[in-house]
Amino acid sequence: MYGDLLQDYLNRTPGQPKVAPDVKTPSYTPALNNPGKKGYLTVTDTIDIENKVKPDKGQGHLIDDTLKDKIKYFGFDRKYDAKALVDGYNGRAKDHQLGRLNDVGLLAGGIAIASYIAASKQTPKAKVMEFVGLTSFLLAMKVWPKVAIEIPAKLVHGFNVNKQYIDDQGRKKSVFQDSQYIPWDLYTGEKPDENLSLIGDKMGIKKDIPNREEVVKDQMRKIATQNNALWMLSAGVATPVLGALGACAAEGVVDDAIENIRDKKANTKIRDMFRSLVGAEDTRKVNTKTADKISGLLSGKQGAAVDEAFIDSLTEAVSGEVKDSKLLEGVKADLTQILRPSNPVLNGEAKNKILNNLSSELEKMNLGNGINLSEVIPNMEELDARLSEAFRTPVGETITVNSEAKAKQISDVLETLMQDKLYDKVPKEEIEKVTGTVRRVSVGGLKSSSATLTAESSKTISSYLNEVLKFQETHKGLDECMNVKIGAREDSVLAKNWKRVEKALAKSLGITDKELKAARLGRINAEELFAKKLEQLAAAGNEENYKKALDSLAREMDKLNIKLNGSEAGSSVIEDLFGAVDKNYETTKKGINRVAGESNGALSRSKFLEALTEERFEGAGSHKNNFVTGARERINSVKSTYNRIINAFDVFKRAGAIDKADKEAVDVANKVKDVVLNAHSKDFSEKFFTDNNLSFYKKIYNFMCGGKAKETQEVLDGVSAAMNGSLDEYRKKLYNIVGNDASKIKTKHTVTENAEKLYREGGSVYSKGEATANKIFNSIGKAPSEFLKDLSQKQYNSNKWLRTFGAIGAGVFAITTAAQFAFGGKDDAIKEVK
Amino acid sequence: MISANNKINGSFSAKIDLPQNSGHSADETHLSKNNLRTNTRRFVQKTGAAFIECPPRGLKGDPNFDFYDFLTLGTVPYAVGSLTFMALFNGVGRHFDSFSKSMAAKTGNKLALGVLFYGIAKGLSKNLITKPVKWATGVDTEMPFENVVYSIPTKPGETNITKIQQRKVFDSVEFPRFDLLYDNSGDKNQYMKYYDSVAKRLGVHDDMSASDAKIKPVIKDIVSRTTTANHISSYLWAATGVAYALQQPWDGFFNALSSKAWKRASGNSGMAEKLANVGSNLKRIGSGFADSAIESAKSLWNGANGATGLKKHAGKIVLGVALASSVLGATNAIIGARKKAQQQKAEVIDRTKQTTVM
Repeated sequence: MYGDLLQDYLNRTPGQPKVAPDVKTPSYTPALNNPGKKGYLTVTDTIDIENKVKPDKGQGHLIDDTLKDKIKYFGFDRKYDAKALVDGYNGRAKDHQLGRLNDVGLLAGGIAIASYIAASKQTPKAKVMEFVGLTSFLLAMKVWPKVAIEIPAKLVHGFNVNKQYIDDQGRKKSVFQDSQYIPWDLYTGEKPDENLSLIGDKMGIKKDIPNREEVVKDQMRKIATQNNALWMLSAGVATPVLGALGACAAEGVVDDAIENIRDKKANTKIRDMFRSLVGAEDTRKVNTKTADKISGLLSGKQGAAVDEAFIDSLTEAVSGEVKDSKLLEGVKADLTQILRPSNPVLNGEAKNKILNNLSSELEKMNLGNGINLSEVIPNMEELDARLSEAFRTPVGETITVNSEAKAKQISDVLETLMQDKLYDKVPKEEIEKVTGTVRRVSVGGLKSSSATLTAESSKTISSYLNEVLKFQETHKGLDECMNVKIGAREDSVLAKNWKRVEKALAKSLGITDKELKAARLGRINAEELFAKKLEQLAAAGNEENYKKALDSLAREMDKLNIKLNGSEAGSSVIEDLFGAVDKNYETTKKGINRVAGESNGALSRSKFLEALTEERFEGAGSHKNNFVTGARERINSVKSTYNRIINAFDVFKRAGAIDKADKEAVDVANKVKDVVLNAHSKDFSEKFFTDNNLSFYKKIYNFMCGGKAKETQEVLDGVSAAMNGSLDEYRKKLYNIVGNDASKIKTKHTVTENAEKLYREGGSVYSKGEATANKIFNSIGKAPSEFLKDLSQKQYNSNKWLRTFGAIGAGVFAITTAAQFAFGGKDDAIKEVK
Repeated sequence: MISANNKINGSFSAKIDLPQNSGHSADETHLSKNNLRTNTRRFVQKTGAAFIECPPRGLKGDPNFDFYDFLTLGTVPYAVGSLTFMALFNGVGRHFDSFSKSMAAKTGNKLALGVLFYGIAKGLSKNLITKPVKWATGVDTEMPFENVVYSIPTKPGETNITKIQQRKVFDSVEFPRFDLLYDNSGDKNQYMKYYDSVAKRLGVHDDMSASDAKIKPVIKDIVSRTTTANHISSYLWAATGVAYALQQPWDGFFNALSSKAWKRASGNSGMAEKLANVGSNLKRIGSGFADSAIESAKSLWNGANGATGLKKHAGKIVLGVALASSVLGATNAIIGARKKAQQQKAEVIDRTKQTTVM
């Protein structure tokens, strides 16, 4: 039987039906025997199906490409993933759920990495950027197939190759991902996106070919497969690059947002702290943990004897908050003072002890080849007589040793007594040795008893440490605010403004990338570049450009003042901050003095307060001085650098206006141009190598510090009222530094008394002392050419990165999009010829 | 195939003689062993297919480009993406000035190492779950098999229509290749050997006659729990790998690796000396790697010097979470398997229920 069928098959020629055609059957054209023709089922006869049973409609449905559906299915996806996790854990998961769990894992891993790296970053912006980077990467994974594959495919071929659908079991799947299981029955044709013949029109399939629908389906499958392969091949390069570029773009936004938040918070905190500190009452708080620890320590030892270890433990408790070692030493010294042990007394017992110790010590010393010690050791009467003579008290009275001076006096009495006794009996050298021993013994004999923690001293300690902690807690808060405003960290207001001024300078000078590339390599290149650019701007006839350049730069610099001063008219946040800092020190001083007054002499001179404000030396080296001077000088140095750049603009402008025939003036101008751009503090102290040619030197600094071009005046007035005044102040300081008649170099460049006085009037009262090199540097400002070199380095590097990977991203996008035109094939049999 | 006198020259069964260049002898789907040699071979075959064989077929729109090929092609973005990440962090540095270059290289090298460790940790961490599960239940969820697939010829006379697919028996949890787990060697007692061994390991064999029907749901349960755990924990271990790579002591290794550190042999030394020099340099790099690895592990655990609070403990947390996920995953699978096995053992026909047979 089988053999017959086989023979039939083999004998059959194409086109001949095997069975007699009593029923209309379709004819079949096998592809293998028809080279060149596609093996499509070509229906030549049809069956009438009008009243027959039709196949059921597909149970699932396609998802629309609208935004509404996207939002709806976002929630659907999250719920589905959560259920998948639970089912997977309980052993009930299906394949589709397990597939989606891979994406859940990817997200979990990404969050873990971002969190770990964020934990190790210092600034809030860096922490936030880690999560921005993760989000950017995940978005890039979703966005790339949409933008580079789906949309171009839709435009070129007319259908969505990434179409999603919900199957009969409610699972969301991709229509074309598995080419063997495409749910064609869901393309019902109700919507234009789901209408196969419309899609065929868009694809350019000929309208009159038989079985058009099958051809359309096959073409769609082919294009979708090609796009899937393209997606896999391009995503490797595109997703990381796109993610990185996205994070780069977001960085600026995040930066500004975080800066504004921190600044606002700091402004509010400064205002509040200032108001509460200048108020009548002392409303400062303490760190409760430390305060509790201290009260615990004190209550534990109430009425007991305490020694140095107790003082150390108190100091240690305070050191959790107070980190400055000098202040801590002061605290320890004060506590020691308060807990000073009761004064030793020189009574009969003590005197006996001293004499006994003395005799045993002298015995050990073997004086003068064996003298009779009993002749040498003084007895009680002799000692009493000497003591009464020295202290003018009755013989034998008990002496309270309540000062070091008294103790020394007693020691001296004993010494003299011994010397007299030994005078002729032993050689001089041995007497000296004995003197040392005597001193030691007397001190030992006067050793005081240990102190006890009385209720009174406990109260004193408690209120004293309360003052210390109040100071520290307030200072910590003020220090934080100071950090936000001017701290030495990349996200302080000061640092951020510096970066913006860098960018503004590069822009206003019109520096190209190529020039950046050269300038970053060395200071000389930067010097030449800066000078060249300023010459161009200062040239006659170029006034508009000069004004524009200076204006944009000055505006950016002025923002520092705006940010530091805050937005409330009539008050300045930064000055409030300095005022609050001042007030904190003042109130602490009052508080400590009050405690000292109430302590009944236990605390007479607070070493902590000395370390804090050093009133004896007008503040030199004190905590207050360091803090306030450091802050003021920091601001000063930045403003001076800014002003120096503006001064450079102005110098070049004025130099441009000099008559070329006047050789001397030209020489002076050239020298000033060089100095204003490039001189460092050492050059200043060397008087710019003018070799003691005082008149030339005077001309230099007069040109540098005096006169203002009209355009400069106009621009600065236009930016803000304070800008011209700020420049003038800078010049005044500069003049005072350079314009003194003192001779050349000293190890510390001293300014004359007059200049020092002028400077002090204009500047901070706290910067006292000789004008040191540091102070000069802060007032002169950073050399603009170096400013330019640094900014070139940073800008060139980030520009290079952006250019390189921007190009790669654009390139991948271009290739991917262009590939779309190669997809689909060019079969004339089915495609319309355009 | 059909000759002039209509005699059949070929055969039509599945067992056809493959052309010589097909590369292997087996002609039907068969189990593979789960060992290093086999896995390496599978990895090479699959990766080779991903980069060389699948892309042209995909880009041409081959009708035989099925879902397996699409998933295989998924290896490409992983590999290319890893290299792209490394380039993002390191590629532009050579244009920088020397100070910026060295500073950028410090971070860039560690990030590149992070990409490498991400992949390694992700791949190896699965063993922390699958091996204990295999030991405790007898089910190796990673059991591989080689699938031979015959595709539709697309051109006349095309005979090379077989495809080799590297799959796992338990790739699908709804339709695992249970048929491959029967022993068809002929011995009746050995037919269900695999299922019996699983039942024995789970302690329910004594009460089971035909164990396959009872054990199959248990295996599905194990696969579901294990796969879930794998998906989540592998990424958490990958994160730990990245955290490990970012530790500061790796700077020492990169310094040892730099070209400046390479000790040159003296100018006119012979071949033997040159080789010895290379050897000593490699040894130096190797010990540099080992030292950095150990110090970095300590740094990950203890936190950087001077760190406080979250920064100090972040390394412990990341490692702890990854370890916890693996432990939880493995125990969940094992305990769930035992429970399910007991359930299966207990499912007997209720002889008191009345049914009507049509």
